[in-house]
Amino acid sequence: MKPSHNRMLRTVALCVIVCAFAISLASAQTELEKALQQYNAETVTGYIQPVADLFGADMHAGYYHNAWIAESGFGLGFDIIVMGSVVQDAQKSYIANTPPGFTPTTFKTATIFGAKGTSILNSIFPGLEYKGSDGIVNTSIFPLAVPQLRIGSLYGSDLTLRFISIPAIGDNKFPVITLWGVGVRHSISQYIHECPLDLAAGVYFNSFTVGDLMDFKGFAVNAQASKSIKILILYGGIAYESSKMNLTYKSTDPTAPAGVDITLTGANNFRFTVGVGLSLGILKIFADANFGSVTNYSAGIGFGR
Amino acid sequence: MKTKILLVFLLGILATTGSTCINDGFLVAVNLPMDMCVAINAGSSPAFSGAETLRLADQIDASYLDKIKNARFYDLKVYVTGSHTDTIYNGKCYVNQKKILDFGGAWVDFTTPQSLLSNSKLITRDTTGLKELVSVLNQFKTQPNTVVVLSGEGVLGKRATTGLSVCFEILAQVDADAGAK
Repeated sequence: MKPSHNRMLRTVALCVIVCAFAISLASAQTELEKALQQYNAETVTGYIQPVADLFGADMHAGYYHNAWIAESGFGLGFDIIVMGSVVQDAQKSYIANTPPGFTPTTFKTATIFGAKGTSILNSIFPGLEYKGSDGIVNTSIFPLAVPQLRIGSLYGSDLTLRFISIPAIGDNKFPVITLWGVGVRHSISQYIHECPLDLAAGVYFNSFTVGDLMDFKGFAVNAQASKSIKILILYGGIAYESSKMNLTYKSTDPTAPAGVDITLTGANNFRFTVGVGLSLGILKIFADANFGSVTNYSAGIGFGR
Repeated sequence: MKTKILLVFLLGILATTGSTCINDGFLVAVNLPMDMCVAINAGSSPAFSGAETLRLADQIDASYLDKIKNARFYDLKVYVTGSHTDTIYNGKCYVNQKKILDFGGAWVDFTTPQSLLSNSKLITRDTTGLKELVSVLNQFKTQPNTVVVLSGEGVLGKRATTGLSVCFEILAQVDADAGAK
């Protein structure tokens, strides 16, 4: 085995070990989980919907930074991807329902990304007051980061695997996050002689859990294109994607059934990606912007082929 | 070696991503339900009464107890369980022996909860008990061991059948500072 391959394998092994250490065994109920339990199946929807939208967009980002795939031969690559979805102002508040019979029947209050929860007085009996919880996450970009492994090539195809478990953060305010994903892509340009661009098509599946309450599943298909100019790589693509967030917990709201089991659909369905990368031997540096219902940015470094 | 150091650094960032964007102090509107039911003995006197002592701390997650900033209530309800074809007369609900509601009407009408929010004509609020309820909620902000005695009484038009009860429910919230240590 070549010394460079040895170096790369040692590096990948180190990353796997460090990732394993990062896996948290924390299972205590976090502030987020306890906050959600104050909502019933109907009222939680608006509070948490931005999470479905933003996580949904995050987990499909950063899968490729080059559409070139070798026709055959073993190749290994390791990437660290950081992605972030832009939190829009409209995602910081929502129109919530007041309890049954309350007047007014709705009020505007903070989502999980909002500021202070709104308090509202009943207009018929002013002594009666109801309030929504404050926002928990204060950010303009909702980030995620994940390491991924690329393995190829067989018949012009490669495999991408990603996994990470992030411990509870913010003094146990936000629960353990576990993400895994798998993707397969196939070179299209190998069938087109003298094609000026590298072309590929990919299929991806992602699973993402946040604590014991939230379970995301996502699916994406995309068409990728890239052009290498010396060390510079220009890449982009279009994608169709869907994501769903299942939320399961026992509500403490006495005005509604305790069992909550709902599924929210992420807002992002189509994604247009433009990106640029540098290929510096085994080191790759890349960044891209993704446009759709949710605007998302991703960037990273890669090692290997 | 530099590559390895860079990797460890980046993975350290992965493990802590987002830790700085969690609000330090955010208030969670925590449900604080209080309820009691008076079981009516079958075949006994048509009058019924009962009381229950509730420790408010038992109604919410224990981790919120020393973090309560505000408290409020948003509805009072009276309802019945069991099947009966009679009328309730002279019903009263109390908070710490202070009358908060008068209620009365056909038993069947109370199988659907009658509440302040629904502007029910079958219940009438009493400011004496409402003030006491506000006082109890305010006390809970600083005294986690606060207890409240909920009680109720009334008379049925004729003797009770089996499995009847009259229930009184207070729907309240407290704001817990989830960011507090």
